[in-house]
Amino acid sequence: MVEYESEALDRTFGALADPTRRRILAQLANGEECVTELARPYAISLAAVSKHLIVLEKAGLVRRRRDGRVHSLKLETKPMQDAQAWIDRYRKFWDANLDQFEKYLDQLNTKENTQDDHQ
Amino acid sequence: MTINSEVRKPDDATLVLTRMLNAPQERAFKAWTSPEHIKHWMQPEPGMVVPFAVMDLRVGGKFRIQMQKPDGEFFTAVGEFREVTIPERLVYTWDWEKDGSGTEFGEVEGKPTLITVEFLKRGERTEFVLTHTRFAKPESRDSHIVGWSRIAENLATFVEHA
Repeated sequence: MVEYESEALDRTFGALADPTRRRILAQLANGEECVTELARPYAISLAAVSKHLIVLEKAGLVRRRRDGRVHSLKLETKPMQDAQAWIDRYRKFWDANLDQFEKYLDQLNTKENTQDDHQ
Repeated sequence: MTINSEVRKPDDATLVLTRMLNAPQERAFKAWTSPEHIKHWMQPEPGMVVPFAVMDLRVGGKFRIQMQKPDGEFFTAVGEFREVTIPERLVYTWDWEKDGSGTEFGEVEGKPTLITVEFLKRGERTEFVLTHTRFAKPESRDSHIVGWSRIAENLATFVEHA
């Protein structure tokens, strides 16, 4: 399983700290889009949008696909899925252990009570 | 599998399980921390056994719990105690050995996670809280907690309103 080191996390959080970049991610939540389409809603230059996209790319939140001169971008959900998978795996692990732990405590209780009766 | 614990997920990197144990605090704590007890209950999957367990229950002390599947495969957890407050609270790292088949401490995966367990006295019963966090290093853990919950929240809002 992929782990995220603090350097990568810093990039991710840095990427999300900007409102334009958050809006870009929102657009991409609907599916893949090309750079010119992404730039359309903003009163900023294509170059400025490109800078934001590079930040998002470096943070691993979007992925770029090149088709000739057209660059399309797609939301990358893997970091979130990895986090969810980690949680699910340990939830199963601890739940099973805790079931057994409870059963074992019941056995101990019975043993202790039996010993008490004999004292 | 039925999920019997109450589960909270404060962020995408932390799991919190809470249970009410039908045993007094000291007994529950001892059963959790003594190797001879652990061998009886540590069973993440049916049929698994614990051939080997050691616990050096003090700050800086290490533990090793070797679990084995019926087909012979080993899963060996190792870690170090960061906080030891008998009989109510433990903080320890949790990592897996790469191989895990030996009887001595072996090479670890090197991605420690962090576990906090609390045994809270509730009369003759004990409230048990296990918190398992994905990052053992405090600095990465803190940035992670703020970060992931914010990302999750943001993305959820985006998808709703986009």
